[in-house]
Amino acid sequence: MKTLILLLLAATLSAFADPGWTLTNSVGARFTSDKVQVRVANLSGGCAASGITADDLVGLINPAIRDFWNTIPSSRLELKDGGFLDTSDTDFRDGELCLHDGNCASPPIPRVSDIVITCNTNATNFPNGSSLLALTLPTVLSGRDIKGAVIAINATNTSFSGLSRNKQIAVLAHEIGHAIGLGHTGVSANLMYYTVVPTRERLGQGDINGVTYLYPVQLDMYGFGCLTGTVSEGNSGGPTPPPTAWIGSLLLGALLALVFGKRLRPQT
Amino acid sequence: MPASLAPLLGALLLLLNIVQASAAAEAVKLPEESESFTRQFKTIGFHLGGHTEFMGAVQTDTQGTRPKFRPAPLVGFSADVIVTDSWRLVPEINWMLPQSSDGVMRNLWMVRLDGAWQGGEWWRLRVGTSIMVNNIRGGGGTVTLDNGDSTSEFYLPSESKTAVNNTFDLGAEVFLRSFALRLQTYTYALARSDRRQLSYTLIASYYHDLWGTP
Repeated sequence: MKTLILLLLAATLSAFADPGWTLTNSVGARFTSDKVQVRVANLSGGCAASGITADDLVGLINPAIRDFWNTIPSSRLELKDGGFLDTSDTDFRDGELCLHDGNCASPPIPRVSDIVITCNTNATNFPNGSSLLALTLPTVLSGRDIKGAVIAINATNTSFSGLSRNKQIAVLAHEIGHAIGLGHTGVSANLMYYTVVPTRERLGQGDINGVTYLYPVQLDMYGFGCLTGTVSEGNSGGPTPPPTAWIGSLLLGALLALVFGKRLRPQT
Repeated sequence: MPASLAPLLGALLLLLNIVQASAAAEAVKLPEESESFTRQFKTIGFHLGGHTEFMGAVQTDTQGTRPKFRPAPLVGFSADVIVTDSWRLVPEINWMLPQSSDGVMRNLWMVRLDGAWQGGEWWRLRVGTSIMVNNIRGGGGTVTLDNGDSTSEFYLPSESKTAVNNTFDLGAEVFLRSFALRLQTYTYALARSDRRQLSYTLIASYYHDLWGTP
């Protein structure tokens, strides 16, 4: 038994390593809503010259959120595939990704709510010869609340469209990570590492810790829903618990009653 | 009703069930067999283990590896409360040792309650629930990291945030005198297939009999 304990201790200590993660801003800004839609700007003409179409991009949303950000039970953030955002505003394609603060060098990409993905050819965003695949900017910040974010996919060349589908999904998931408030990490196992890696299938531990920090779930009852709002942030104005949240409590109570009530019934 | 009262009501429901169970236990005892409340605590246990979080769902390298065995050290203690000859209530607290980097620290506490069914002298099964308290805190500051064609400053967290999950737990334990080995599983988000995750702990335990009884 002592040997087993020592072996167990050695195995656990060998894995005592921790990945890092960062935020995009000093205040830890994040979406206030737990449910955020991810949409693709459906521009007439699109960015066909780069090989990127809106249809292609919209097909990447679901795997990018399903296989990455929506898998974490300790996070309350729920991303939704919002499909197309129909627009005729060509600034989505041609505009500069910048805060609407009067300092933009060219017309900016329009303000959005939630997360909007667009192909983009602006030379300030993607200078000639740039190896950037995509850029993301939360465009509407109010205090520490992100109201919306734009993900601009580099359409000045075929660097994005030339990637395999799995890598395109990973790039999009990475940019969504920026949109929800996460910065880069120095750990290559994490999705928020700055460059594309050979195989990216799931989040790393740093990504999980980061999204848990920004969107901590509060007493999730077995997945039925949270019983509380935002306790760690003062619980002021948190969401009302969904009715299903009670089912978890009741099931637990019923389980105990069933197990112990029956066993302990007085014998005659 | 304020949202903050919801967990209190949930806890009250649990308490009512436990009290009801205890009362029923008292009811079946003959007077000469009744024991003091403290005598219901048979043993206290000390635990050392390795906790694998979100089995097979966390990428650990650039090749897409998602290990099923990724233990982090864990310590804990528990008490065995006699309910019937074959059933025990086992409240337990475990602590996954903190992981830290760049001044950011993560602590995972498990506040647990199991019903343990003694299948034989050398083994038992457990069913129960945990409240997983996952705290992440940082001291703030910045780090310079690669960003596209250059580098940028990114920010480290400066607050303390806590995520709390309820898990559905199953376990199996084998005994060798005062020692035991246990496989304990924790299912997160049981009702949601998209977020459901399985964590588990391999635990070596020492149980100290409080009353020297066999």
